[in-house]
Amino acid sequence: MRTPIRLGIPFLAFVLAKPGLWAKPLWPKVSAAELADNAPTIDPEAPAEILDYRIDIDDTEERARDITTTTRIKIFDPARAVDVTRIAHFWNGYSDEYYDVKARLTLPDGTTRDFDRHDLRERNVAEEGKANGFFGRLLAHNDRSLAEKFLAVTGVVKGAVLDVWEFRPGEQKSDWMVTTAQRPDAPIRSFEYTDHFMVDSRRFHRTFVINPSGGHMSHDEKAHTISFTAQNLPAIHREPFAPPAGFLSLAIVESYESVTRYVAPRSGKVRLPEGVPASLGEWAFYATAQDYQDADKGYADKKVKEKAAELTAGIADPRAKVQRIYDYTQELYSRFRNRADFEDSYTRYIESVGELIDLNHMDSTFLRREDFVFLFIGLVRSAGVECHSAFHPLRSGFPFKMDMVSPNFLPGWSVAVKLGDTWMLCDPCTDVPLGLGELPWDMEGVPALVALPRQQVFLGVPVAPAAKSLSEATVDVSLDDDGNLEGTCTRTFTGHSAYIVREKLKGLGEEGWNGLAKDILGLQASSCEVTLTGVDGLESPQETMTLRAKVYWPSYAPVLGDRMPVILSVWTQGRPPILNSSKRQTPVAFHFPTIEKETITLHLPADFLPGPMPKPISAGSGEFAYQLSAEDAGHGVLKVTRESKINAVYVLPDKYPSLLDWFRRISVADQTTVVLQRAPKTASSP
Amino acid sequence: MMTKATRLILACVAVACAARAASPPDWLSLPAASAPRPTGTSLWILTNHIRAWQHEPESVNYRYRFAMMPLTAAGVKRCVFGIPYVAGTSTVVSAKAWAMSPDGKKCREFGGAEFVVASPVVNNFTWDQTKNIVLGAQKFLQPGWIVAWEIEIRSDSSAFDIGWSPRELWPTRSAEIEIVPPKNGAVKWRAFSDDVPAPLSLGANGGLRWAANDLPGVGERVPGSIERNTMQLRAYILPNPQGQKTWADLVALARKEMEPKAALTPALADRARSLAGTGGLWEKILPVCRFVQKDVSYLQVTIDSDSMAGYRPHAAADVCESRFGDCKDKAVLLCTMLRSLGVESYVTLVNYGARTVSRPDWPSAAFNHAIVAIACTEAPPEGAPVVRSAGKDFVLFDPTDDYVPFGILPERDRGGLGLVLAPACDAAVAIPLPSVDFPTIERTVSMGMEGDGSASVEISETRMGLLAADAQNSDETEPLLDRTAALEKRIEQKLPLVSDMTWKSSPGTGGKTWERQVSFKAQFVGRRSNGLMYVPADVFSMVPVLEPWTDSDAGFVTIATANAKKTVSISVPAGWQVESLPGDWTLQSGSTTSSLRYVNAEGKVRGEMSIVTPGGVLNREQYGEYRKLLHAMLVAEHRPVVLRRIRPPAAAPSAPASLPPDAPTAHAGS
Repeated sequence: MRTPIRLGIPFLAFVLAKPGLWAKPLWPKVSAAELADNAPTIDPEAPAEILDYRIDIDDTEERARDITTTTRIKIFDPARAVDVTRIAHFWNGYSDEYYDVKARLTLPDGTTRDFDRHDLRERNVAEEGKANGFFGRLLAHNDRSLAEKFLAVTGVVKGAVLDVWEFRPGEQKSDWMVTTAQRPDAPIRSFEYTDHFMVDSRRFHRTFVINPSGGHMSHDEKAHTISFTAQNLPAIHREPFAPPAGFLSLAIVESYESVTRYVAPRSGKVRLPEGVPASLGEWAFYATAQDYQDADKGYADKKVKEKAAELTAGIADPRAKVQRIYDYTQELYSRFRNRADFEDSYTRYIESVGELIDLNHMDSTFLRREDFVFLFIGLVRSAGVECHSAFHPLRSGFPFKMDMVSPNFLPGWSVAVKLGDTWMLCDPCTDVPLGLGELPWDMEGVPALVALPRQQVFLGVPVAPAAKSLSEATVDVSLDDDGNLEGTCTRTFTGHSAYIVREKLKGLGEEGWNGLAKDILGLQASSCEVTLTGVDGLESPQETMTLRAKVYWPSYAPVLGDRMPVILSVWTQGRPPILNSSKRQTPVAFHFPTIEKETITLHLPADFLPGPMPKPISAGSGEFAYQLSAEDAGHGVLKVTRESKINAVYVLPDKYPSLLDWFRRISVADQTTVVLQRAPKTASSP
Repeated sequence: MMTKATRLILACVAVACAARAASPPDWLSLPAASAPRPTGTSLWILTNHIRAWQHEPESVNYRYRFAMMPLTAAGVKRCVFGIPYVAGTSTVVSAKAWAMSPDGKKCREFGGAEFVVASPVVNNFTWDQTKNIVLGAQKFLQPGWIVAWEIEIRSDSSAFDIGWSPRELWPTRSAEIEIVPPKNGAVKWRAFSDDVPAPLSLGANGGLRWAANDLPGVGERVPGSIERNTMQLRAYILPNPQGQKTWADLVALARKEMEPKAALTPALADRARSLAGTGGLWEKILPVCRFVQKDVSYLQVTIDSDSMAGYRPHAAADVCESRFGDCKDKAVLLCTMLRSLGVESYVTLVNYGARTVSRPDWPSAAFNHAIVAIACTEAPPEGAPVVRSAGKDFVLFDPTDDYVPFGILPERDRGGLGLVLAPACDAAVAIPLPSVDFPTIERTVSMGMEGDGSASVEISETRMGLLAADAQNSDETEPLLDRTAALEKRIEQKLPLVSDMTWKSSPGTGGKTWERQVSFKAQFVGRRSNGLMYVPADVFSMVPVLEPWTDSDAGFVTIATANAKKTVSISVPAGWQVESLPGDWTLQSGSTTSSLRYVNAEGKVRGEMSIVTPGGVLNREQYGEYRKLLHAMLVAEHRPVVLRRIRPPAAAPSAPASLPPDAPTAHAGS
């Protein structure tokens, strides 16, 4: 009898700790007014509106949070509202054992229909490819998939009201948790967010609201509750090249920031900073704390100083000095990233960044990326060049507002090096190596906080101009009598374009590169067959990233008896236009400015001659520019050059029509055709 | 800085680390530093050796020795190795691993306790009985280093085949399998690929060894639908040389497990009676089939742990009561209910999505799915999948698939072998592909052309059979926004400037058809040049573009049966006339026929295209031929209709200012 009791107590304790496991959803009565409501009020075209959306979060536990949401949805057009009534939840097979969902559909006549877990259906959203062989299947982590569960609510009619209750217990907690309110499928008339926060003297707890949309926050310190309410929130529009959701939706952030993270000394040689008055700027505290860390953790001991002297011996130019130290740190960091580590457990942290110089002889030591950043700082300072940590918001995350003071809004970390009167930002410790003075694209175009003591200094970080991120294809192809194209392509990439290609290739084994080549070469939407023949410049940012491939494009040009119309802009065929919709709700956000260039040498079939060649076409100038030109180079060869430049990262909706017009002009110009005509047969020699 | 205590702790740690220092396993020969490494790959498999031997009756031991060298950082990430085994029927005897520098001087050994045993959770409704014993070695490696594993597993499932395929995704220096029977026993084997080398005898005990060296990696998996043959060598161990497995033995074995679970209870009989329809046989059973298909949720729970547990369903009455069951549970439940209505029916074993695993001349229990065969005492429904086994015709139905209606079999059930578990069955049967006589898709594309090359396009299509079921399933499961985006993308690949697109879809009657209407406007559909306009007729093509077969391994691709028709109607704009039409075109290759024919009547060009192919399971050569055929169809369909301008348009074209006005004509005569 002992065993059941032993099992029973923990089970009971578990159940008591998880109120949602037995809690029943409460279905508030649907009022006659709600049933009679027959038109959307926020967006007249909305097929449904969320009358009431409530999120209640129990954050009182240290490691996990329970989230309960209730949603009341009014249906105006069931055929278009299928995504609203399709209550979906992504999962990976491990985390949602206790996820629960229930729904009640109230029809216009007042009758109700209930749905629960038994009505859940599932589909695979993404699945990894299958590898070969018994071992291959195991080694390739085969058959992992991301699945989506959804509650298939049937019988939805115009005028119905759908209530949904979802419970997600035990969601993992971190020091930075974001809840977004708006959804792509329906506007929200009333939104209410409640967080029962944790009280912990070791952490600062703060709640931030991003894009508050006129909402109202209230705070009950006694009840440890934060609430936020908002009305009439429009739906988020799913549009191509839209900014991240963090820029579009009302989002509420619960931040738990460790109190002690800034003052743990390492070297013992640097004095702790004194208090920083708020009058210096609210960010000055963080800048000062980080300046202390730069000095303490980046403290240059004898080894560091000697190494700096060795690296910069005979060099006078500060930038050249920094370049040598940058290359050294980058190589060291790469070695650390790739080294075999035989340790069972780590017994210590480093005591000085100078230890890293003997990386090959280190064991039992726990190392982190930040140690290498501090080494870089120590070396550069030892070489007599001023430098400091710098922190960046990410364009791929949330909009940055000066008054939202938390380092969590500045997740990007680089080093600001002062060369003369100017600051140069760089990062020698990235998984995909960057050149000196380069930053990831999402750290550009936003201000960076420099860790200067008792100061609040933000540097403007410009977006790299389009010419820095060049993607250039040199194509040499022959067209045969049947309209098939065959030849070679060499495509080079610089700047951010190169970074992205390197990231893609390094993420895959070499055996998978060929499968990626079509995508990287820009031919993913075409029926062109691509065989990769070479890759250069993968490891070093100093080299140009280059892909070489053989291409075969069956049936590129149709053959009509003696005529063969050939579209000159070979490289763009089959590629859907980047933007096409005539309406635009959200700004257009490009990751970074780019130039795409193609130089195509087209060898014509022996017995075909080109018809009249088109005049050069150009569209736009300045931020958006395009040129296409073709010439008959004689001897059956056409030379085509095409260049398109996008030198902007953000286009507001009011400027969208001119951008769309530009894209349409490009789409049309890319269809420019030359008709080849079969040459008349000459009389044979007698 | 360092205290005495810290020094003492570090010294202890150093001693502990030294104790872990080890030598590479003696079975591993390290590649010489000067030996060339393979290129174009992230990993190099040095050793891939398996030894299987019969330890005692009904028990086979497997020893895996495996070593590999990551050549790049991406290869290091892939250095995870594990062996799946069925908990209960198999046990791990030993597990060891070694990580080492290229010269073996720095080496660390791992014991069984450092391996992880994990059960994959397939989804909330399926708990797989398979466990994996795994050791991830990424932390201990860098490019050029070596990791080796040795795992031994004892399996009580001797009824099943031993399968082996020498080639892996990455190049392999040495691949080998040894199979050793017990004293006076025998190894039965068959090679299903030329990649399998001839075996060598291991001596008087009847053991055999297959070995191959320096094998290239099979590379990427293209085409994506390829089914690789992972059992190129099949073998099993018999206690005596005269023994032989037969299909009849397997039928008897499976029936022994399944039939006792098909016991009819009064409640079950009542349920079947209450559900049964009226009319003929098929009308009578249809509601029962739907009940088992729709109202019994898929849930696999296997509690037994003996070697036949995978063949043993739950009692039909229990499944009906709980409304949960896996494929065999649902199949046995349906058979039990049908039998209570006097309808003869049997569980039928098939290979879902693995059409080439079972071979007619190699009786094997390697099935992975159960469906139902219903005896035809009346003419089968039109187009229904019928097999003949044990002298009778049976209609096949898969009650596990919750969206393919009665009369159609899911795509992945077809094309392979099946075993009808009828008492007199002594042979596997081919699961038929659908008849090519039944239309699969009919599509109409109407293009109202304007003189400036723009067009109003209307597309309507009807899908039949499995295509209809697939489309209907997609409508029910995929978000509307995703479906709309996919449709837009498909259209925009051919027509770059599309606007005002609307579409709707709906199921036809009986769930066997599905209809969709699409309409949109598009600019630059007709491409103008020198007073001519080239109007493409391949908008919304029915011809798929097949990927080239770049995979270097043997395998198969299944091509679906198709009987498709497309009609294109192009209205000639005012001021233009037809200059030329693509010539009529027909092609027949093997059992596939295709034709394309254009006529010009009353200001409209009408093109009719058809493709009829029986589909089937194709190997590399057959796939290549089929791809060529499709390419020829694409070329034919790609030819545009040519219009000629007969007088200038009355008004300026309504194209946007951006449209280059008939660019080439601006240079006419230049």
